[in-house]
Amino acid sequence: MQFNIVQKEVTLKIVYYGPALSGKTTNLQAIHQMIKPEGRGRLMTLDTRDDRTLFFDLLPVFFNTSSGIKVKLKLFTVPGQVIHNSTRKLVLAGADAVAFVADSQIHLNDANNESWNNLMENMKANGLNPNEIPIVIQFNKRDLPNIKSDAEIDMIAKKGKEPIFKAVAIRGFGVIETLFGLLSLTHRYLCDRHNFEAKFKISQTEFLENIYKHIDLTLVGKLDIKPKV
Amino acid sequence: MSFDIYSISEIGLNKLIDKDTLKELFASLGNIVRIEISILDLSKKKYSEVRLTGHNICRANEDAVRDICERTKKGVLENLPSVGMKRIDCEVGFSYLLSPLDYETEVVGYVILGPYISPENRTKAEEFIRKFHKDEGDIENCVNWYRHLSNVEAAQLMKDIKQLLTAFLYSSYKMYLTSKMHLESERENYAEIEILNNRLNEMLNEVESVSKYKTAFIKTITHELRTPLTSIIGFSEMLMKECYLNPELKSYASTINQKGIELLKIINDILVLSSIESGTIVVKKERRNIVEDVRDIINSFYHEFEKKALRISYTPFVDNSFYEYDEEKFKAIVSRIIDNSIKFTSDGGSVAVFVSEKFISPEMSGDRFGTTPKRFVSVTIEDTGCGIDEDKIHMVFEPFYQAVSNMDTREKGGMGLGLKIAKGFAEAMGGELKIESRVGMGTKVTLLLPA
Repeated sequence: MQFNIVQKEVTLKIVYYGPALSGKTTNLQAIHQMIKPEGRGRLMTLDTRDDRTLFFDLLPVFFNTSSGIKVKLKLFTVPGQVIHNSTRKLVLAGADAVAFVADSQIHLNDANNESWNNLMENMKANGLNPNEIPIVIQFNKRDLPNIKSDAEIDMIAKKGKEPIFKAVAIRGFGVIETLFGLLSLTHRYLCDRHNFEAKFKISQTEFLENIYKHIDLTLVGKLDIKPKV
Repeated sequence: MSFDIYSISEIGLNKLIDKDTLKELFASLGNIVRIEISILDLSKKKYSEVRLTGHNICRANEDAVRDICERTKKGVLENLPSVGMKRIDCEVGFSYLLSPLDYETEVVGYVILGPYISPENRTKAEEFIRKFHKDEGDIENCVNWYRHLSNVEAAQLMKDIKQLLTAFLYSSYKMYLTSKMHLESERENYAEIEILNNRLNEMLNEVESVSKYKTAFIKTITHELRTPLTSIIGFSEMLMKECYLNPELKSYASTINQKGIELLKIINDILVLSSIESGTIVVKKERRNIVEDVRDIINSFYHEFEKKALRISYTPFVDNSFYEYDEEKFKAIVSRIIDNSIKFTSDGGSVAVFVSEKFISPEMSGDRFGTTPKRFVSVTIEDTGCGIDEDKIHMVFEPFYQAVSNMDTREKGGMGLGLKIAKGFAEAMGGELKIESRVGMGTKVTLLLPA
């Protein structure tokens, strides 16, 4: 968390992590399309090769609170390909929360595990405690065949403390739920860690409602984002 | 009062906000609709309107302006003086909202709130209209067509409009300032990030070309080294077999041959390591008998076990001996581990080899996203050697590292590449290599391969 006293601006860094082609950029594209322009900035997708995220994507989402503070959420994605680990480590530095976008397809279980273990390693390398930093898991691509069943996902949810969300990001299903799930955890974490609510007078309800009011929920299920191939 | 403000532009804002900022504001508002307001008191032959003079009408919008003129029943364009009306001052308090700005914008719509006829001046209005219409019916229609407002109501209407516009403009201006501030900070960020991104791109290209060069260099150099080594090994072997050489010279030839073979092994290891690191390793899995393969490997070390008087035990625990793996890589892994065990176990010690099948729960195998236990075949090699310090055990998979520092590692041979290569091979086959050790007690290395 960064606080600019002069501009009265709090910046939070939220990182979308996950294996290659699991839909991290698609999540950001969906959020970008669903949040009205007054609540967000430009979605910056940095140069890609072969249509893959090379460095990161960045989407700023912002709102002003009644106490006169501007809250800016910077949503980042990392490149999923194994070889880009140094970039992932760099993007993860100073993260306030992590959304892990897992691929629901059964044959990609190992890719999910590899990326998850890599997240844990990189968090530790950046001095972030995986037991403290808010993390949510999103099982994306629920519309595909040969995916983990809902019962299996329930079992996976029981194995860890991270809340699990199911999504079809290209259509906009589950994307906002994932973001809000993470944001409510983040608010709680910031209150515990930085005394956020008392310091900045931003309650959890205000924190979430300020973003919620900019979201066009009629678009859920109507999006048609072209996934990377 | 309510009316539909789609949006607004150019309405005397210059009194509220300076002109340059205002231009910027309109530019930022983008595809905005300009509201045209026309209040016309026909009876008094005076009207208030947003001036649509030549300098603030785009040529492309002349038709739209003409349309406005027609709808307002002739008359607001300055170049139509024949209508007989002359421009007069706007209502008090309204005028500053109506001052034009010297800047072009697109007219895409408007709201007309007039003209109107006040009841007290109806006769005068009819006289005025009569100038343009001869037919009494037309005059009546025309009078009825106009809005009928008392002067007081008209003044109130002006006041309301003024309030609405002011409120609207202020909120637009506030919004504009906020977004401008935001845009500026974002623009700075983007500019910085884009410069960084370009630099990173350049660096990545550099690194990629250097990496390609490195791989090519290693391949070339190892090839260049292997060619003369073949001659050294070959000719030293011939010398060893020469019957007229005295035993001393033969022993020299034997040393040359032995060292040549060791050097070849190191060169091959470096080549393998470079392909592991570049991820270009190719795995060819086939269904094989693991129990037999391990036995063959152990047998190939028979002389080494003999030489150090090591006890070797082999215990296969599997019902089914057939598994899918890459024979060459499997043998390379197990040989390297056994070779290490022999090297670091003192004379008279023992080495035990087990083959078994294991089911590992998702929790134990670090499988966060799995729900069922995974089946592995494991090969465990346990020795009673010198063992490795707990704080050094994580280093054994680093290349060129040998954990045993209190012994002369040169004497033991090798460059510390063995375990790194074994781990690379295991991972390439989808398995893993685990090591447990206690100083003075021995070391246990386990190879797990998916079954």
